[in-house]
Amino acid sequence: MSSVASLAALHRPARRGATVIGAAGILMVIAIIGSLAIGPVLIAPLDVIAHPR
Amino acid sequence: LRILVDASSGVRPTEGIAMRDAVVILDIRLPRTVLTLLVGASLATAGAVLQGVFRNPLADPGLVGVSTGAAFAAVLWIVFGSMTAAWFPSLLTAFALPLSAFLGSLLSMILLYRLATREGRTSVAMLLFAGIALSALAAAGTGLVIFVASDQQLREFTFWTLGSAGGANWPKIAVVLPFFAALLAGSLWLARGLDALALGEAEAFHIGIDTQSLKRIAILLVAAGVGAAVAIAGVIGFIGLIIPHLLRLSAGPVHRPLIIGCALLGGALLTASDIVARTIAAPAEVPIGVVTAILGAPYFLYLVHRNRAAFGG
Repeated sequence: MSSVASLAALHRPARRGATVIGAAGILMVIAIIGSLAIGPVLIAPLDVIAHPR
Repeated sequence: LRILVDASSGVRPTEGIAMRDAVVILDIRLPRTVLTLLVGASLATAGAVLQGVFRNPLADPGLVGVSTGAAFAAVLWIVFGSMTAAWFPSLLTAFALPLSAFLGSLLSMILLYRLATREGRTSVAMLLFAGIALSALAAAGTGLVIFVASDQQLREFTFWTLGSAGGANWPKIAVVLPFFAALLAGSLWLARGLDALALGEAEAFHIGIDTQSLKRIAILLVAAGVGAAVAIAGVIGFIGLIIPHLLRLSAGPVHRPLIIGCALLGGALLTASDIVARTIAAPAEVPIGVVTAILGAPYFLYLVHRNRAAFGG
């Protein structure tokens, strides 16, 4: 294996980790938006039932 | 989005439908979302750290009895705490539920570690058996406490054990935030030590890792995070099992990216489960623990099936 190839192999796990963290971050943002924004007409009464004020 | 942008600059509608929407988003959904993110992140991170410490893929806070221990201690506080609350300063009383859950999970973790580890080696079978025994013991204790609980306490307890983010509000989040922050920051700090521990206890010791203090700190951190999560959202299983596994398969075993990924994906999965829990049977709300169990139990069976040789099958 050439030195360039071995260097690339050495960095691959770190790059893979960064990709996975990025993907997890995107999923988290989607979940946050979904949790905040799912139709107010559908969810508002449910939220109010869960928290009578 | 407009409500969030306005709120960040201190503007909040005071009448009509806009005010109702602002209440729903800022006072109900936003704290609920923040809570599910924190609880999911903590449970997944705790799972990753536990699996690193035990060097065992089946170490999940729910599965090995740590969550049940936290639940037992928290129930003790719910039922008997009101009698002793007058003796403590009000600040301590505010922290009493997460603190008692923390002590319960800490005690369970120490017992589990002592029972399952011999000469630095943790046996899979012992871990599961000890976990099952501790869970059963804590469940029996919980049953005994329920027996003497009042109707109000029983109702509070029943909703709480099923797992729910329904009671989320900002003061509750402020109380448990330090516990979650300690777990997340501490786990990142321990990441290199956990990497070394994966090589074996003797190998980690010989490259300069103080394995005993590493384990003690990890146990304290997991107990803090799981205790706080159980205290505020009830017993939610399988997040700590599924997420670290999925991430190990895709990102590899190095703990620093694993822990960051667990925090992000754990928060995302629990938030998504919460969306399902509150919409699937609207206007009623399915307990979030039921949703995570429906996702997690088949995955656990798959894991057992795949590793059946290790279980003597």
